[in-house]
Amino acid sequence: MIQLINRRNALRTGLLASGGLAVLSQLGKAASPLTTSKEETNKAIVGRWFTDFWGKTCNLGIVDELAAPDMLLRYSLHKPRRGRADIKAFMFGFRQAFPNLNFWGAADLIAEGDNVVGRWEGGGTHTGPAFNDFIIGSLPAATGRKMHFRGTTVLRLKDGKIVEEIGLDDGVTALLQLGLIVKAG
Amino acid sequence: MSKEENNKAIVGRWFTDFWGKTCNLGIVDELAAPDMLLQYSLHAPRKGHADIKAFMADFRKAFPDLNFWGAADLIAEGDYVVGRWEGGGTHTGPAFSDFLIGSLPAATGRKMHFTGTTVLKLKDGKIVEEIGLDDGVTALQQLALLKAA
Repeated sequence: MIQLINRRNALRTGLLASGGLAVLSQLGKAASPLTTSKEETNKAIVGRWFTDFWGKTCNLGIVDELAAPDMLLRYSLHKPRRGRADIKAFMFGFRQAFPNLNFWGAADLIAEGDNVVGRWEGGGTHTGPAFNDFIIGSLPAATGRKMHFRGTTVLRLKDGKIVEEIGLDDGVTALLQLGLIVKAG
Repeated sequence: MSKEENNKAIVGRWFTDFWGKTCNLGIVDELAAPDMLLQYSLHAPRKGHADIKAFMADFRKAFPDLNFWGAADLIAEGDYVVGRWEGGGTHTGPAFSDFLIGSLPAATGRKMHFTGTTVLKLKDGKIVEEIGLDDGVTALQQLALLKAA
């Protein structure tokens, strides 16, 4: 950080020394544009959502802030959820069962129009109560089983709120790790 | 035409001619970069024109009615295009051992129909990377390669 500040100061000093006011204003325009595109705004919202909803330290207040009132949350491993209360209940139950649950972005977000695509990875350890939110089957309490897997999610936003979050989990990896599916034959 | 629109047009042709009902493997020479990486969660990764053609030729020998199609608008930014798709086929051909999880003996008659999401990376009008996530839980249960514990 100190290096960054020093570099920035050096750059500024250099520019001022050269008397390049026009150059400086152009630099300012490029570095901090006055208008941010819809895609950039949407990516910033999804970045906050990934951190505060899916990250290590979950803050469910983010649901009231960033989720549209009738938001649809649908991942391939889980039953779909709709609306703020249902979405909070989903994450609350998920973290009760997997207290160290943590997902994070694995690549740059891709955004066009109302859509933002995130590739992620993460998981957790099942040390909590019995869990029956996986479509495929239930876990009894405290199995101690760990899951670590990847996925891709498409989020749709409208007026700065998330209206839809549709994700595909690498369920084969996760469910084999959790012992909820087995190879057949 | 923006780079994104151009890339989407290329991916649209790729989905039709590589993954669609009537496959034309000549599309690989036309649209794939020489060292293109093709990686789907159900399959071992493939690299380069010959390997990618072999993958699709074998997949269609095992599943002759194989057909995948776009299920939503493509999403593009910069060098990336994201496609959501669905499709499948019926295993009426020879034994198939390209699924990572296990092998199918010849002509099981089993059908698979599933969805997925793919991120493609393009450079200079060629596809350099195609990385896809299959809904493998659905496909592999249908093929009886996996079952609920």
